Amino acid sequence: MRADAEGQLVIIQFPVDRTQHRFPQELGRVKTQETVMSSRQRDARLRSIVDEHLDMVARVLRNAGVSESQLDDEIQRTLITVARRLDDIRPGAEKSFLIQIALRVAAHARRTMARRKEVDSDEIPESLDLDRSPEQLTDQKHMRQLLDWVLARMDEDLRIVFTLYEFEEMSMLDIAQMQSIPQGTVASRLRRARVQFRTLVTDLEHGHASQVGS
Amino acid sequence: LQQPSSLLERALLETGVDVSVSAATRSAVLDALGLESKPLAVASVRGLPFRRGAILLAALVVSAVAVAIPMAQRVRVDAPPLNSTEVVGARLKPSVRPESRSAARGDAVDAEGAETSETSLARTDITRVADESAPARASGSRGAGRNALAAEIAALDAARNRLNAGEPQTALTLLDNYTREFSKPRLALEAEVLRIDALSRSGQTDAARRRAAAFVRNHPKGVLTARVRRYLEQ
Repeated sequence: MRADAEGQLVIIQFPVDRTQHRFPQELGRVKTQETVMSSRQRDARLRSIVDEHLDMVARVLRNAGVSESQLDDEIQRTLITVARRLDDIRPGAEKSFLIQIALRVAAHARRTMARRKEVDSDEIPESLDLDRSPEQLTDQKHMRQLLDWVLARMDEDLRIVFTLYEFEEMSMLDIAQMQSIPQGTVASRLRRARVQFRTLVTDLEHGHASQVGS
Repeated sequence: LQQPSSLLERALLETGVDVSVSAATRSAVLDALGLESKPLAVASVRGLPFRRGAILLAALVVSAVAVAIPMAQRVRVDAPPLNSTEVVGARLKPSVRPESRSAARGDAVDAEGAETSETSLARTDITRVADESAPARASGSRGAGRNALAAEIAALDAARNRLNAGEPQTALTLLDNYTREFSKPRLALEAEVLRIDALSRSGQTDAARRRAAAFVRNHPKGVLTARVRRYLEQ
């Protein structure tokens, strides 16, 4: 099967032998005229994705364990991956696609951090002292550190469902479809995630923030 | 959580939602994607961090202008005039791409490079290759890495088009150009798969298989690996 010379046909094909220049079709994907986007269309679509979803990408990455110092790099990495696979994204499915890419990028970043032994210890950093005043609840940087501490200690499967549900406001059905798991599994994970989250927050309150909260 | 049990819990949940991107980051992302950065409408922006970023950016621009004007005046007085050779030289100077923090490093398969020397082009092919790689070079040479990704995409598109037009040797030459031009390519894996394909189509099946095997070995879990693996299984 050959490419259409008009479009940016992408066929990753390999000959079975030297004389027969035929290739297994499954090795590549064929873009028809309808699916081939012009350069201008690609740019417009990419810009639209950036404009609409950049904050969400940052949020997913951050809540999936990417540190503040790495965030810009990982945002770029996510969007570059999306740009490379723009033709694979179904119109209307951009958000789901972006989240999946962002989760993978975040997982990769976490593994890299772990290899470099940059993972923080089990102890809450000394700077996180909520005993002093409830005003610290309004200190965004401080609260972010606490949230990172909690999320980092949740099971990954539970954390993904929890953050998508609580922070991205996705429905259980959407999460199930995106993660390719049954809806019942999502519900179960969400329930366990809430317990885990609440336990960790209670640990924080009892161990380090007994004066805070009611 | 439907009913947060404490103020801390509620505050943490709010913190998880309150993540937004600064204007500088947005601009950097657009640059990395090869898109022009346009100012966002204020109404479409939510969140304080962006406003803080915008104010910071405005302050930086004002400072830069304040510094640049006296410097420009000084240069106008002190600097010797450039001759035309220097101007042309500056324009043709190879692009200095900034270190791409997010670039995939060393992903290219360092299999045999000998086959690239086996590629010979007819005179017309050379002309066409030069024409097709020109846009990529031009966009790649813009300062501060702008359009670097776009340049890479353009370079690979040119190679792919030649391949699809039944000119694998030309495609290989374009891929050689790509390898030379982008020292830390972001699309190295795509380039390698294209090269394997081009080698196969040009009849260099042994070289293609060796590179394919190396690709699978080096990137056992890559997105493109399944394709290459299926090729090896043929």
